[in-house]
Amino acid sequence: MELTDFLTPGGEWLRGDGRDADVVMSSRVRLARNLAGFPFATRASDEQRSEILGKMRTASETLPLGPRRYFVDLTPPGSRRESKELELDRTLLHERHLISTELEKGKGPRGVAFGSDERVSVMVNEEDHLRIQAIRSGFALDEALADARALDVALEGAVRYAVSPTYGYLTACPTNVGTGLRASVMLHLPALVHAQEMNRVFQAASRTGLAVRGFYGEGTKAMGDFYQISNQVTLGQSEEEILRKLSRMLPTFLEYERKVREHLVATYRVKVEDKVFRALAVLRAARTVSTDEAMELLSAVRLGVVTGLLTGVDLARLHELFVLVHPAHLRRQAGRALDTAVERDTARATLLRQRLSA
Amino acid sequence: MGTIMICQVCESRPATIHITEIVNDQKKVLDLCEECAQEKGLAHGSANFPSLLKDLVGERPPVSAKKCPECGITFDEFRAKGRFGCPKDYEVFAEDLAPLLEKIHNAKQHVGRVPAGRAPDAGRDERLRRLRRDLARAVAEEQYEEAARIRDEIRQTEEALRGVV
Repeated sequence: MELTDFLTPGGEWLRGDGRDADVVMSSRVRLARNLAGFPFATRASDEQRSEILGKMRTASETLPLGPRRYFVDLTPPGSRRESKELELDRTLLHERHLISTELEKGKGPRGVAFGSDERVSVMVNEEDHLRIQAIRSGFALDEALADARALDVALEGAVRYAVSPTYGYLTACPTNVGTGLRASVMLHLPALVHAQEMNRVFQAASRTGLAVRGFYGEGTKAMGDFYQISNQVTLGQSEEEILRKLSRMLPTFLEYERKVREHLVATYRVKVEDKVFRALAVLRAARTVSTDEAMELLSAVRLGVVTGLLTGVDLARLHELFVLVHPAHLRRQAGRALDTAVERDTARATLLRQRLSA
Repeated sequence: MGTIMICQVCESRPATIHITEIVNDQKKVLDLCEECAQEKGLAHGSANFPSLLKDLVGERPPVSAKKCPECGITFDEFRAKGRFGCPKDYEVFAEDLAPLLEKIHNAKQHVGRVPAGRAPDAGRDERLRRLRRDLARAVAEEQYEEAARIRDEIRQTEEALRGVV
């Protein structure tokens, strides 16, 4: 399918509203599910994976995915030209957080179903047969769980899950068994990064059984001062209990970031303003910008907006840029390959200039 | 019994307690004196056998040679990859998996949601019966910490049962 509608991210989670949106960019819930009667995806044959994908394609037609439903078959086709196109689609979906790194880079028959508001998606044949995911703007884990559960309940009527009375939902990796639930919040922590306090965040998280990950989840680096904090335990606690524990810990991190922001602004106001306005000036004028530099500068601008130092920049438009500056989006927008880094950096700078012009 | 057996731990006192443990079809015999058995907690029946064996024999307990009849994976293969081959593995390797789940989740029983109509099975009733029996024993033996833990588990299991819609 052509993902041409996807030039502009319409993801609800980028809106920049919701509770605690000054620090919490988005809240995400994912449920790992497997079908009974099949080997897990990593051990299933291509035929079996295709069968699962087919079942899901049919099931997705009636799933509560959102205003418009999409089902993208990511199975590598025969010809090379086609597969290049597909590679771009996969990366595009990954850049929008609709699919994981594992589904993007994986092998064999696989796919994803999602709704046009990009609030929910169901990955097929990732590490588990199904990964149901729901993302919301701001701090909204309960709402995200409700969205994911609605899909879960609908799917449960369409397929038979692998479940055990002792272990709950059975997953390929025992770190997900039980509820199969991973709840995470994406935090923007520019002040803590600047004050070199992140080590204390990591320590506090690990002491309380939470994991800290980068912008694109497991095994990815932090970009633009974004960090995802999530639960690790999935067995022996109910879904509500897991969310409650994460929510109880969260204010500690939020207050910490806010305190340091306040302190920085109160003590070094001119310096912070200088950082924010320089970042905006570079984004509005530069002729080449790398991905990392773009993320860093956008982070500084976001800090300016949420601390009130900078007005006139819309948070939702700014958030879109955190997605649009990545290579697949630039390629899709340019309509050509952008094979060299210089081409990409130039296209990125042009986009940033246009989108942030005063 | 013609010969006098010596305790395998202190290697001095005569062994008066003989314990046979079958681990994954392999027979292990422990010959202990009264004192060493006490020390290992065997008198209370609360010994952790794999680690006891490890202490004594100085080797890790043999890894199960079991193979999943459905996907053909062995526990060693799982350990190398960190991924199971199929849902049945949880049943086939239940014994080997228990300490691992304890380590990762500090739990061994699911308490969250299950698909409609899939939960209240004989297994859960059996588990509740077993837990209540364990609880009575723990109370009788004045093992109050253990009793509290079992009570929690009973409560969780019952809650999970009620949580089913």
